[in-house]
Amino acid sequence: MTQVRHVKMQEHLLKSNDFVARELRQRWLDQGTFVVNLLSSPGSGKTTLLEATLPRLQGEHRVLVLEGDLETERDADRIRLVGVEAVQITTGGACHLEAHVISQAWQMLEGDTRYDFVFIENVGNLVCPASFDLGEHLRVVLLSVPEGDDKPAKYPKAFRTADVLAITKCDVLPYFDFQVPEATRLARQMRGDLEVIEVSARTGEGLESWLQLLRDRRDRLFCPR
Amino acid sequence: MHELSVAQGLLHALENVRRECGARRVRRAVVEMGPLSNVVPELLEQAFGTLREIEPILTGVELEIRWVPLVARCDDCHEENEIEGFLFCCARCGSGRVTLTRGDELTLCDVELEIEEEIAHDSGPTREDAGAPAQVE
Repeated sequence: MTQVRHVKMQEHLLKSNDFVARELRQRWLDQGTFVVNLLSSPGSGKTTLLEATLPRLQGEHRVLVLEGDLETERDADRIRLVGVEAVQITTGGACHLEAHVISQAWQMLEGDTRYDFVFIENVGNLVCPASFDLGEHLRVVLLSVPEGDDKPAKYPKAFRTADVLAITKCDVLPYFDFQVPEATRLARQMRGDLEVIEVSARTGEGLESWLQLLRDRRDRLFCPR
Repeated sequence: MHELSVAQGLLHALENVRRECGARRVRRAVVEMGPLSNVVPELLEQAFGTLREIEPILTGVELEIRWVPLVARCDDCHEENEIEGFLFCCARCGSGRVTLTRGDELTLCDVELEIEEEIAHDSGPTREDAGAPAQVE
């Protein structure tokens, strides 16, 4: 005889991702590794920002970059060219990184090296990556000036889940209608305590503040007063 | 198109609950989702449909998606109101200090199972990793 049974439950559909992400976050915390997840649309300057700043961070810290892309080693090669260790993760077409992919990459890596900073450069996409916790301690969303100041209103989740908004390519502000106060206002509607910085990897403007922000956030986690 | 990842999460959740309850098959699944789930209902339906064609466990499973509005409670005047256009401020007093109470759900909340009574007794122990048993009505 067939019986029908109703089961009430509350199970998040990305539960397995979030489980792996929590494990990663704890493991990194135990190892003294501060992990930053960089999110943005393609071409907003994630790799360029890393190229311009990581060699300086590396003077004081051990740094690693995990590069997420659909295909090719191009971004990892660019990071290696400035003397920073990089691992390419190709997603084979997937539009975002998931925690288990990071976990697998990390297991392959885990040796004697202890990193102070790991940067995960997510696949260029302002939609899907926002839903996947990778175990990071800091989420940074990049918005480049040519993209327009209205993006925070169009991609709420990316800006709501970010801890920091980095407005990139600020050197071209005179040539675009991009209003920094407007982008900031829209982004803070998504998250009131969002930290906003302006940078230009090309001219070097704001790069020292970006580096200081990274050091401060790491210290806040590992050396609380 | 991360909806396929979400549909796979749904597949695993359904398989777990089916196994836990010793059910023969899943008839129906209800998923609640809101604007901050970042999932497009139509795309999730499509992704689920694709999985249903290749995963025998999903054969004949009916998926119902319930859309949940974005709701926040004001930290200042304590009133709860629907949020429109992702403007996270209080509709009553205008305060920007609000706490989201609904709208980021992406949750399997109701499952209808078919249980064969005799078979249910003979099905043997379920796997240990099935998680805590769900509340059965």
